[in-house]
Amino acid sequence: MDNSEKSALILCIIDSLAEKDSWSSETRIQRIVYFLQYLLEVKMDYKFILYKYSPYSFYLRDKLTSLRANRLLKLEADRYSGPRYVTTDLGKKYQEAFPNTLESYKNKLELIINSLGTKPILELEQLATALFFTRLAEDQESILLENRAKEMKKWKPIISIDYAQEVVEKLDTIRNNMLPDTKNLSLLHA
Amino acid sequence: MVKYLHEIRDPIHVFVRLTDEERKVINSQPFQRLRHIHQLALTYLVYPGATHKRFEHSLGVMELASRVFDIVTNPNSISPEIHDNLEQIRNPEKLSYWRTVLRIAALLHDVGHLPFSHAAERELLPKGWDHEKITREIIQSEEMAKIWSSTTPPLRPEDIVKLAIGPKEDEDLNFDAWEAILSEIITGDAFGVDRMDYLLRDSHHAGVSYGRFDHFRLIDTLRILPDPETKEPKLGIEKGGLHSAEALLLARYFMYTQVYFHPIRRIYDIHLKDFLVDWLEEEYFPIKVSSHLALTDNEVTSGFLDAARNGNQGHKHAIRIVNREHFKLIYTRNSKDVEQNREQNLMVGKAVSEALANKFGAENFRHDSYSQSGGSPDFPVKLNNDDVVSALSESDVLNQIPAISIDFVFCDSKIFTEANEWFRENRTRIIQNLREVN
Repeated sequence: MDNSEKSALILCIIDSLAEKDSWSSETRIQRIVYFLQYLLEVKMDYKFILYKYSPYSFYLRDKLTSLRANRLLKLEADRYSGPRYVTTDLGKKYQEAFPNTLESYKNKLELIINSLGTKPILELEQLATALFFTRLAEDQESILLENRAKEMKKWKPIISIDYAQEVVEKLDTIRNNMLPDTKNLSLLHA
Repeated sequence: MVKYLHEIRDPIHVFVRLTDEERKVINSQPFQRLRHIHQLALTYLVYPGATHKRFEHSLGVMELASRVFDIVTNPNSISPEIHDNLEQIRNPEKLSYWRTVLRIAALLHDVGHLPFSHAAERELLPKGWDHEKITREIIQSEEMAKIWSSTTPPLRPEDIVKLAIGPKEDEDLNFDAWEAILSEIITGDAFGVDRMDYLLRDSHHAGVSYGRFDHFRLIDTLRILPDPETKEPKLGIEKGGLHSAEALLLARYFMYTQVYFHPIRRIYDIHLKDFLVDWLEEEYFPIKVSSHLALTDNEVTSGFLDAARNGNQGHKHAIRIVNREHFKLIYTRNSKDVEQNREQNLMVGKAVSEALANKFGAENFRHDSYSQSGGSPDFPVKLNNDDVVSALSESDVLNQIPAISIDFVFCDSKIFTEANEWFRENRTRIIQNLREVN
């Protein structure tokens, strides 16, 4: 996916969240892109690290600011939720130049937005962190799958181990529902 | 109790005070090299006073870093929620250790910079290398390792690397909440002291007022607060500091538009990069630490002066710098052109540049575009009733400050008149530049 296509897809993500009355804060956009990349393998190539409590991409952050600098996005403030990103008229028009790109990701985007797009932000944070540790276990084998909850608690000590375990199980169920052909991690909790 | 036994005069902060250990760092070869790296590359060709170096900027960043640290970790400044979330704040020994690491990281945050700073970095380092990676190599080098092991308690080089480089530049490093806060103190978008110092310092030396703001008041009101949405700890301010925060972000906007993105400054950066491509023996700047430390602005300046005078490698680019025969600005993107262009603004300058290059030859034109990076101008604000809210909702100013984007096309002055006339006649066709949709 080239830079222009990524821009179009990010604008589309923001519009899709707005259609669901979901507050498109930077945090929520970060989570949605993370799930699209690592749950549904949409190749946006943003590198994520664990930053504070959950996965974060500084390059995605820069992209959002760049889209704002080019007047494709603007910010709207809210006292207690923080600001949200909103596409401008120019941003909507920009997407019209990429019908094939957006069509090719439409189903995956709908799946993520419908399943996760309106969840509370703290729940999204924990699910994303659980996915981060799942990837460490599966791709890099640097931790054991059964230790994911412990790793989450180590990273955010204030949560309980029971809560971390609950989140891991929830993630495994979501993955299994979205990707029935992949290894069924729900069996670990049986 | 920290003992500051040494002090250095500074035009911005009056005094910068140092411990014995910090003095050893300053006396090291990597740090002394910063005396010979301009903070603003060739900007002195536009603003003659802007000859200051990364040496004094790094001292300033260290000074501000610990001022901020002392304010935000003061027990009177910390809410119960933050106190519970950040274990290091409850432990005086850990606080003392991290304060030392923070100051050292602030001192060394620019130590890997190439000659003339950012002007040439992306094209002139091998793939996978940047100045942050060189900074890491230096911090972990043998010379510096001797200093880390001699402090009490010994400093872990990986802690210094983390805070000096910051979270964006090393994809292998994860940052917990405490490390992220410390990193925000140095390189954070809203309140990073790196930016605070360079705005004040660059403004002072360039002789402009744009970069000034009340940093004393701002620092005094800084706090670690829970983000209104996510509750993650984040650098924010008490309500009383909001106007000085607005002033900082306005200062950034004005310095970027008036100084850092001055078109003549940008074209000099491009001419310097073109010169370096020709002049460097192996196409790239050296990445081995010893070779990196041997190369400063002095060697490059000698190089382009020699090339300009004696016709050596890089001559045609050198004379553009030395004789001030820089390319002239022939096009700047504007909002009306953006609306007319089918691809909506991201390609307009490129379309103009390509059309002119096709007509008159690519060697006569340069295209320069940049869009602001970093986060949104938002941070937590603690109100008088202890509520924590978003700054963008509390401030009438912050959402009005535009994010910056530039799109310039430059033309060789020898053909400028002819090219400009042709461009005027063909402007509409070039701007509209219809392309097939994908």
